[in-house]
Amino acid sequence: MPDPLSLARMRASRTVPMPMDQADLQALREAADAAGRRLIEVQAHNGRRHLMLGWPADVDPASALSAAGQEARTATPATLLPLAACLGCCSPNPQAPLYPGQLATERDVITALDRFTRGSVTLGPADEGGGGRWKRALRRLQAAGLLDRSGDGAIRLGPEIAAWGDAEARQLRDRHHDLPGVPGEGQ
Amino acid sequence: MTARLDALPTARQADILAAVCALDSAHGPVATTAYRALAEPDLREAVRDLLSAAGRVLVPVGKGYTSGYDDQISARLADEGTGVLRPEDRAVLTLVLLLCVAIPRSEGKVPADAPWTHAPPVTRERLVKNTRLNESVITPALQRLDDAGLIIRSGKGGLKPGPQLDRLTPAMSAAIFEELVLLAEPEGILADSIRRRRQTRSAAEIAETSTAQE
Repeated sequence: MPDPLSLARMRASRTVPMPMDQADLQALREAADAAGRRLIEVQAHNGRRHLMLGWPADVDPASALSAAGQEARTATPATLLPLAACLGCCSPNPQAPLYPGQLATERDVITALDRFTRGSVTLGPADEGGGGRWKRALRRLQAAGLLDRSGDGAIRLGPEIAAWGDAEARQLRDRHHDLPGVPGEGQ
Repeated sequence: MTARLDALPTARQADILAAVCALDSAHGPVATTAYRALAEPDLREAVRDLLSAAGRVLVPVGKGYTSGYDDQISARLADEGTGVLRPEDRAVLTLVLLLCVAIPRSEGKVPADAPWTHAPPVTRERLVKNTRLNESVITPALQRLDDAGLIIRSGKGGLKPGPQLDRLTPAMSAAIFEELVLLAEPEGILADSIRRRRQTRSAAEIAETSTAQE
């Protein structure tokens, strides 16, 4: 049965708490199905389960846009490299499911980035210094739902990673050893 | 899914889902000609159905479309505080809209029916210089607005309204522009006319509610 308000709320908030009642959960699943969407279960920093609105397995935003020659939202290398480091630090085992991965710290990610670039890459204003140039990228990743940061510097993968399809996960597994933060990276 | 969608062949259903996915995910409006489901009126109705089931509507922008929240749904979300910007972010966004849209429109530099994103950029320095908002408030607010796609940076330190504003429905766009007029020139003729129109509308709504309750 359609429930446009609940689905709109889910989009606006990115995630909503998992309903306690199975009947409520089933109603949400049916509402998502009526809108051509599916529900994705994600995990918050505190371990609580949440729901996010996703696309059916055979519908992929990047393909839907690129197949029609439309502009997809693209990230700059200054954002993609920190994302790669977050994936490497939070999901160090290529055989394990990518999401939810494990907790890492902001320090782990910044150390991995500095080691990976050997301090030779300038991706932000010179006066940001140290890890400052990476922090802006981490903020962007958090805003995009790709990263979940707590106030004490702990990092985990964000809910949008849970929406990645099998193709993305397979590509990532194939190049996992190249991710910054992975033991023996780039070998 | 919807009855209209279920009645279509699988290939057409895929066309419709691809168009809805593109509308909801794209950085900005998508071209009508790029998607069969947007170009053909019957399929476009099925796109509308699917968006509607998620509380969204098809919004025409130039030669294409985007999707946005249905007006009633967005009012409900705002009432419950879902997806509402922080007060300081609203203040900074208002400044950007005043300087990039309201003033250029009143000067005739931007057509009245131009999309929000069709606006001359304003520099960050001008935002800081001409307001009582502290720079320590403006800088993080601009970062958050940029992250949310509500502003975009253009070359040489300029910024202007971002692609998310194209997702506003015509009614919502008109309401925001009226607010800008009331803010910029509260004693003006246009502001008077907006207030009169709102009073009339409000009285009509009260009368309608009373009739419905009788």
